[in-house]
Amino acid sequence: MLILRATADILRVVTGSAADIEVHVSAMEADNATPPVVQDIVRVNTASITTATTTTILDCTTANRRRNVKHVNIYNNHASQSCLTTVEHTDGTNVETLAEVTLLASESLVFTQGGVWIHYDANGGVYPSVGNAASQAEMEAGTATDRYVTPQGMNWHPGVAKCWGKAVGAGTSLTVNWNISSIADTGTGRLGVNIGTDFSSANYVIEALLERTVTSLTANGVEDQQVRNASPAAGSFEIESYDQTTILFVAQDPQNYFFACFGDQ
Amino acid sequence: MSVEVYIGVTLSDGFFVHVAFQTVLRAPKHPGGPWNGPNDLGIFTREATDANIEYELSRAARAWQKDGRTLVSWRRLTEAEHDLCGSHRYYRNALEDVSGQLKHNMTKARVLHREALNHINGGKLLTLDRVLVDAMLGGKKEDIDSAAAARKALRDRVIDPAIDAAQTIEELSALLPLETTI
Repeated sequence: MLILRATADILRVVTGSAADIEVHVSAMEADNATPPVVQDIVRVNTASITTATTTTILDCTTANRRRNVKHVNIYNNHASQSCLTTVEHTDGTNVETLAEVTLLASESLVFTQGGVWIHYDANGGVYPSVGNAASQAEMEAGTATDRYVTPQGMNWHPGVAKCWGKAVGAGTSLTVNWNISSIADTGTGRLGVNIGTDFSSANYVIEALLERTVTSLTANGVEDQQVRNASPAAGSFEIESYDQTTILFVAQDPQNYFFACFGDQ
Repeated sequence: MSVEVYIGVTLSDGFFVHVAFQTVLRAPKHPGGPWNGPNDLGIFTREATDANIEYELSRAARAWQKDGRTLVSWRRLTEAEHDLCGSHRYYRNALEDVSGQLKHNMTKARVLHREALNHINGGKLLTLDRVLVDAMLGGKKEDIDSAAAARKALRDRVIDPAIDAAQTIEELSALLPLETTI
């Protein structure tokens, strides 16, 4: 419930930019009798607000009247311009902010009969409560029990792979990946990997696996893999593949390389 | 449209590196550098311009510098050249980009060929050593001669004159024994 009392109370909108804000208000007007008697059913469509300004969207100027606001609808009809929109109530002396949102193009702010402000996106979807989303620090700590995880925030948890990929055994093509900007065939049995968003240091974990070239357990068919000595940097590392089925190890390509990395970005 | 562009890099020691440059990237946030986006699907993109390729190669070069090597030159590879990099992998380290032509250095390829044969022979020679010892303990001359001949045959593969006579990588590759799988 939102009340305007005669005669100084005003409901108004402050627009922060030159967008195209359209406002509708529905209300009931009663007198001050006991009990109050309904005198009017009010609806006001304010002319489009196309400048950065303050606009009264409902007043209560008749003496001894009260207006009970049932519904307010504020819509940004501009094709591209966003608008910081503030709804204020004043009793003629004190100005109180009731709600403030940035309305992107085609978004709306609605005050319901139940007294709830709802921010809708351009597709009519309700904005989530972003204020309760876990921050990067909270995701990295991994201990909060009163925050929710966003798709982007998911990446910051210590248990989530920050990058991963599958590359052909020659190291000449990346089959699938997450957060890998390039790979390099740096020799037979060697795959260089360059990460898109780097780790914060060279201290992170690299998990590497190979797909063997054959199913038999004979020479030239049992590749093993290691991270190349001293190769890990914040944004790159190298995997080695070699055959160790005879006394002389030899660098050898696998069928495919697989890798995933965990650590702090 | 392919999401990869293939780049050939020559390092200061003459070694050839093949780089698969990615033009699209899925990542949680902007990775820095010349990436555009993300788009509505959260995908970053970049064109394979000279500047963007050089930016990526400057990042990749950090790993090469750890081996004491620096980037000397780069160029875009054709699909045929990309395919060449993926074939004859025993001889991949013999690839050289000379005067804009990617080809195998046959001298280096022959060394790699012999290294591959030695690797394959290693396990077989160990087995034959045991056979020879058993034959010597058994005292049968024909068993001893047989084991010795088998060992010699393995060694002869490494000094086969056909290796030095091979003029192309295909001729050299044809000399690899059947048990060689790649």
